Amino acid sequence: MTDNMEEMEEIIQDFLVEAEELLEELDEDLVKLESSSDDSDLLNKIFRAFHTIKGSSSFLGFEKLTHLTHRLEDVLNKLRKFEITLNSEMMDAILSSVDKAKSIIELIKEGEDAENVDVEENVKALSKFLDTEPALSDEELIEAQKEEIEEEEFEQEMQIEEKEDELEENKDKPKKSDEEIEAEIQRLLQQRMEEDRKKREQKKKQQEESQKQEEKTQDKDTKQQELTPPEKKTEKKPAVKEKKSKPIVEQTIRVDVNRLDDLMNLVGELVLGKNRLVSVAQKAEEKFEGDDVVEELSGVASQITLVTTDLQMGVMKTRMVQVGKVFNKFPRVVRDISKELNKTVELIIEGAETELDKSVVEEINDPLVHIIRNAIDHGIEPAEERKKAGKPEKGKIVLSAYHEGNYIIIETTDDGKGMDHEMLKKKALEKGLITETEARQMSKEEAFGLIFKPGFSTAQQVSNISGRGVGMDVVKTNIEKLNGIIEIKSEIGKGSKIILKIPLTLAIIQALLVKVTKEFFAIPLVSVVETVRISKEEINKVENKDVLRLRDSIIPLVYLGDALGIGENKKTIDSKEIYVVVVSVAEKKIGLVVDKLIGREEVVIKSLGHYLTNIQSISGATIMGDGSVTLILDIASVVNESSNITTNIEDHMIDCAIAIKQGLSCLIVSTQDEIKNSIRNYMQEANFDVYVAYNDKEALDIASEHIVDVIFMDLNIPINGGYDLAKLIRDFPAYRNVYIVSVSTDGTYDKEKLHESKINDIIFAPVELEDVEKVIQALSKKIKVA
Amino acid sequence: MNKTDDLFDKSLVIAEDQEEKMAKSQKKNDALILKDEYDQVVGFILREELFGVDILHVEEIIKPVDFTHVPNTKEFVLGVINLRGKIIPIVDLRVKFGFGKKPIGPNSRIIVISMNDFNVGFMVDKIEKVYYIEKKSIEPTPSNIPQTIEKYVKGVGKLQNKIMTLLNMKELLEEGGGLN
Repeated sequence: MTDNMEEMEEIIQDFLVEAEELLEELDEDLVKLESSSDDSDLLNKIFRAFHTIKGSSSFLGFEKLTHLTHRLEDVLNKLRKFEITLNSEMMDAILSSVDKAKSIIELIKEGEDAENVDVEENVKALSKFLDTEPALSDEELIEAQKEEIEEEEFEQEMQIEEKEDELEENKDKPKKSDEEIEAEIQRLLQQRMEEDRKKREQKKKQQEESQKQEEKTQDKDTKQQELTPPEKKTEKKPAVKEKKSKPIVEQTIRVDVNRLDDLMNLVGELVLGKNRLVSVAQKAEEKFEGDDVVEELSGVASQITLVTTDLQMGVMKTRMVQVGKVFNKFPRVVRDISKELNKTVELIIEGAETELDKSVVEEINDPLVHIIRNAIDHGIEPAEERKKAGKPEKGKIVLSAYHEGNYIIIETTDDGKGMDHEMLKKKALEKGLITETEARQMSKEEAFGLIFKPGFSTAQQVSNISGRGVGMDVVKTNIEKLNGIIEIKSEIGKGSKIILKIPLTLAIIQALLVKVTKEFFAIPLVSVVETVRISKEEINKVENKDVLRLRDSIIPLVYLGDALGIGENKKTIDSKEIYVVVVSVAEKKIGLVVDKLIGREEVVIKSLGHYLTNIQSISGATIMGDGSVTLILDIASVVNESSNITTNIEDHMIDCAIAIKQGLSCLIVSTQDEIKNSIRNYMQEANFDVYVAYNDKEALDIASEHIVDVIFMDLNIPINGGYDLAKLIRDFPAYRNVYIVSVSTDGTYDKEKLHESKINDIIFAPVELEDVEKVIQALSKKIKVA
Repeated sequence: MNKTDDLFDKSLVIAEDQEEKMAKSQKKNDALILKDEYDQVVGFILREELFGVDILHVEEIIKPVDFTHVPNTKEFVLGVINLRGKIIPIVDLRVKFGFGKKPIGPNSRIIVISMNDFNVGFMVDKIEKVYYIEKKSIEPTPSNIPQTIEKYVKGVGKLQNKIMTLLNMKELLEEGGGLN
């Protein structure tokens, strides 16, 4: 029983997938049909699509869908036989019926009752073109019975068109009694059997003929009545054969997306493992250079790297779908919108075969609809205006896609009137979206970016299509969600081009690792325009904000630590070497000042989990080669935050050359009170300011806020111990030469590690006055030398 | 490599011997009834007080490891750690309960809770052991519990010579650690 249910469920699923695909194709085909209404191949294709959906839906008992598609089939049947001609009214009726069919499929998919949908209106609209009265329920019964027969005939239906015609005619007769129906069925069955026999004969004959390889046309005298012209028949034959042998030659299988997601996750783990292996191999190489085993390890590591990269590409490819899946909807969209606006617009699609991740494809549909809508409404001028401007009356929109590295570029180009940046500024000012000064400082590109501001619209009137100032905002948010960037190019009178740059996949990205205070962050490489090293003198102030003049543009500068709210009082930037990561989000460009650039790495995006959702400026985390966690920045949110805060980068700078300060200070890092207290007492007596930290994290925070002259650190402090802490402290620009003294509590120490961590001295607990005095002496000598 | 090995805290002995002892002392009851009448609770110390969480929610107990601070989170979120490839947020329960910050010491432990879709580690001062608490002896939250932690308390379990505050993990987890 349950088995049956499952089977049924599966059949319905298959039907839904098939129907969806067919309907999607239909949209495209129908629009194509509008411009070439006498293409009989196309007509037949559309007819077959309706027929297939009708057949399966009647089998599965979706009556409303059957009813609707049956009518569509009828109309198409007349069309393909050229009994009626296509006009735009008819096309509208067909398209709206297709939409209705789509909505029914959607309902079935969501497990809702599809029988409550009202299809009568569509059916009536379609029936108008059939020269028949709207179907009556009794007749439907006959139809249904006839359908069954038609169904069986599907395969050969091209050959028996004429007979079907008879059926159609019969249908038009007035109501029949039950007996009559019975008789009718009998008659039809008879007819059918006879046809079958004839067909068999004909087939036999045909086979014989083909065996003999005779290319003579068939004897038309006897069979002409039932036969379609021979060329049509031969066209159909291979198609039938292909269909029957499909299970053997089928090259694709349907796979549950969840399985692919699982696979992708596993590959993500593998990439992390690989990163780790590579980092271990590198360490081993540094430590034991020239050792045979180490060299072998490096060999293995690079081989694993190669295979992992290939595997990752391979798995990514299984998730790839052609962007055409989205693009193919647009002929219809363009048709509908241009019709509504009374403009003639031609859509040219390029690069529909470009592939990208399934999840990305799903996300780019909405933005593209808005962009195209905008292009037709605001970009393309009315025909008269175009004529005056010496352009062809028909507007042109080019939608193209291509790959560039790990990104897909989608461009929408129109040949309309282009955007006037001065006008955009004026509008934004009127609406109060920007201030006068902002408007003045704004570059041409930034002005184009105004169209993405929520509430911004240049339309004088709110229309059905645009003018509410919502659409482009949607574009921006959706593209940002995908870690993508938007670029706009426009020339008045010539047209505009909107360029979307989106990463191919969402799970594994290239990122730039940076260091800010004691933390490390990953910036998605797609947002990074360039990185530059500047010195303090190159930072200028404009209206009390830090800016950088980079070639011919002015870029606002913000310390990343301030943007993330972790920079307070931290002095960790070397004023001689200031690193700026220029990032761009949608249309905005900004320079993020960081302490250090670490490098480029492939990172696997992991979620922070349910407990930490919607954390501002953080989009996720990744695990590095050494097993530590690095946060991935949500650059859009960082840039947003940056424009809300005022900072002074100079506050975070430290000039390493000038070490002379007022008073001396020291930092003691230990969990043991004895050590802390004795050192503190001795140091306070020597007029030092004393800071105390219990663990390495605290120590790093204090060290970056107060630049001390000497550090005493317990080698056994939590979490990672003194050796690691010393290394991290040395990494701060202000601490390259500061005196670090380690305290061994148990009398043991690792000489090699001391050297590696650049620890200057070691004392042993319990700490005596003379130990500390020695340190102070060494320190004063050092300061004198400096 | 060694770091990961250290993650598992060997100092915590799951009270197997105790379970056996109890089972022996109540030989007449069979094991099933034992489970029905007793709750197994992991006891830990926070500011000298004994707290407990249901052992079924405890995934594991680890020593403090290096965590990554996450900006724009509530004060009590220490950061996130990597637990065998999973990102786990760490919450300082002392700060969360308003007990005042205390530096991580040699006895500090992280109790990793796994419940519903949540995986969160709670930093506590010290782990005691696994207690068996008779369900009958669990009493509703007394009125003298500070208001700041009242909503995170499920009840109070009475032991032979001390009492234990039982935590309502669902409430603790669902509050989340993000600002807003």
